[in-house]
Amino acid sequence: MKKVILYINQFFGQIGGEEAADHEPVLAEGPVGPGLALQPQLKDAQITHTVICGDDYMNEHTRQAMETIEGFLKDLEFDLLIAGPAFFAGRYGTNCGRICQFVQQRFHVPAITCMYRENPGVEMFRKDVYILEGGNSAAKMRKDLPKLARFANKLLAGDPILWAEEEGYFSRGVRAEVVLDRSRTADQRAFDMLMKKLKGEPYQTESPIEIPQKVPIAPPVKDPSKATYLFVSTGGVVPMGNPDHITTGTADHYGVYDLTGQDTLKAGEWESVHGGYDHAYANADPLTHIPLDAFRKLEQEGKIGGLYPKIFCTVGNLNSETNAVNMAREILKELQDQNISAIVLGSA
Amino acid sequence: MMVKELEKSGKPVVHITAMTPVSQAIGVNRILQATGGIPSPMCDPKASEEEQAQQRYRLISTAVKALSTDIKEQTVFY
Repeated sequence: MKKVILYINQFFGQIGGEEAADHEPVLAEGPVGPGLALQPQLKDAQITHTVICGDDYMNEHTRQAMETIEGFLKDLEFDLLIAGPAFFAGRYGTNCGRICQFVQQRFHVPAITCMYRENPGVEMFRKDVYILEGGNSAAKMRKDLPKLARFANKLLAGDPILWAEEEGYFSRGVRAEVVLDRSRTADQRAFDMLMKKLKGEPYQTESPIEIPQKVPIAPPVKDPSKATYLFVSTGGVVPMGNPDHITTGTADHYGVYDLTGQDTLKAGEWESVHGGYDHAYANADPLTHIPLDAFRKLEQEGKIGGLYPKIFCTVGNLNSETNAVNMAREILKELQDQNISAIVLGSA
Repeated sequence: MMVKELEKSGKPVVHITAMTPVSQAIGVNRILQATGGIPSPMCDPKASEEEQAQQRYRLISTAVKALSTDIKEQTVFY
């Protein structure tokens, strides 16, 4: 009998509505709320526990919420986590994505969720988590639960998971080989596709080219001598001892270090924790990643207004778009009231 | 990816990287070729200390220049 954990919000957990959105995570035994309808649809699997967490709490105190939930789960045996379904609820969908991503990283157990195509959770987590495509309101619960159950059963049975359209999840940008039936070799599929195209019939490409979303070009700094520059590094050089525990890869947070009054960085006081290159040079001279002396010289010469006193450091190695986007957003949020004119970001 | 998200703030961002083709493929707007390689992007660790300092100074000066340059399309600076 496989064991499944369910994650739902305060509303579906029957704790309350908006007024209970700041509820701390709690662990209930057995299936709760939609779990009761989901349980009979699971094959050889039991929802042993349900984690219920307020949507605002998880959103505003994410780290505490994760720590608490980690505490619930670390002594439990489980084979899969199911979160949601979240429909079009933005906070809920984001939180479902978060908890799935966390559980996968921390416990190396698959975690799946389900939500409506326009839920912000989709774009944020589709690359890291199987998100099944669901309906846009709780009225669609009866259609979404079977989708979750079907996919969960496949995962639990160890069945091969096919491509996105076939299984009903949002494409993750992952490439894998699948061997199809002999009657449908590539030449036949290509020929059929060509015939459709020539006849003006609709056809579906097997290889969509994804054009990365463009960001509008930000206007240039008019007067550098008056401007404050922010330095961000993904090269992984951090104060010796790595006080903020930045991981060697797939980093989900950054450290903030105040360089006020410093003109240089000394070997022995900084170290690299980046898992993607040899640290010899970086450890011998942190300036190879954080060129503080260059900024100070430009300040002294009056060529720039100044370097923002705090630098933001993380590791770019093996990182997901989700983490990168989240960290960038957090950085902007932290600095929104500071008068930063421009940003220099140094990679490894 | 962080660079693009940071630029959504409306502030110009320049990406100093040893792997400019990756940055180009992702669609970063202002890219600056690092002086050194991946383990030591800001300068050549085999050059003399004095040279390394000069290299860092030149590199960051170019970064500042890139951030002040009005561009109409993705641009790699050197």
